[in-house]
Amino acid sequence: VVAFFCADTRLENATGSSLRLSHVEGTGVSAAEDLADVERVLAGDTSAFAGLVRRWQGPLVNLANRFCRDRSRAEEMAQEAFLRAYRSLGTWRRRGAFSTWLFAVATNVYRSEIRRVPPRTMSFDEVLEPAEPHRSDRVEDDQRDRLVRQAVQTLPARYREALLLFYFHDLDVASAAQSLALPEGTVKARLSRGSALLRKKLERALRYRRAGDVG
Amino acid sequence: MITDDELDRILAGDERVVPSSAFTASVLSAVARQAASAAPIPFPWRRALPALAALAVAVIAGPIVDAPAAIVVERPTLDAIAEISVHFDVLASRHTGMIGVALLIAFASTRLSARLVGQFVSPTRISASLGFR
Repeated sequence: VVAFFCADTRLENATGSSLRLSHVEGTGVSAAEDLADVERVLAGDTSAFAGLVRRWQGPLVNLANRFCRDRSRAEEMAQEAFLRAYRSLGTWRRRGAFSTWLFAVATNVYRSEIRRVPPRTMSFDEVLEPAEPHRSDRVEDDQRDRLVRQAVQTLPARYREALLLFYFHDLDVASAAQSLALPEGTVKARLSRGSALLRKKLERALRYRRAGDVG
Repeated sequence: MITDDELDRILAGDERVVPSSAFTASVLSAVARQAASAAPIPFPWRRALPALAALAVAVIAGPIVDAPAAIVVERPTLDAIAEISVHFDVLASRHTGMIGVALLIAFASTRLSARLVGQFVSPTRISASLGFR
């Protein structure tokens, strides 16, 4: 209960905090342009789709990369997401932002693709190298960061997806929930459980590493 | 141990990937291919629904209306089999009209399907395409 409360509080704090790293570049900048381009594409001007691709290729490729951790595959997945968006452009209801709809479409494509062909995940042994006294702090930090990201990849899909979307949307639960087409409460619960699992995995990995160093 | 803030920083500050220069062109070419290919014809549910409903009614009501007097066969004998075949002969002769209507409906539905795909396919072409000559 304490763990859940802490994690939940952290989420709420994070949502309104200054920890906004703007990975979703372009959000809020182009709503009018998006609408105009969508109208043109629906009217038969396929070339107008180029504007949408230029504006949203960065976020879509980055989101795909978070799912698969493979740059070239991320581009293939993002292309498939754009194609799916093109085919179902008429289903965008215009009640929400185009980007919200686009991220939901892309997330759906990425989840299916990752279920179809899971990415190769490295074991902790591959990520962790024994600590060396002369290694710089920078190298140590990089390795720790890789370890954390690797640990996320080993989580069960429901928790991994919630965490990926939450951090991709700059710690915004509402946006993550919209992308996953899930209620916010469900996403919060998955984030809480996912964070707890992640901590457990990291603790185990670091303990193993320390034991290795001693041995 | 890693603190919550560190965890947030690491996961939110994931490496940023810049799409390759060919990405936009590749997507647009895929979209152009998609636009050039004929859109699949959606199944005409609105038109087909009455026919499907009528079919469902016929399937459900048919056995009830046409149910022959129960033929109870305790042991399958030659006499019993002969009795059943006579019964079906009688049914067939009595329902020639119904069979004709069924054939007519089948023909009409074939014509309708052919029209929906934009060309008329004659029964001889259908049989030829199926390998019957």
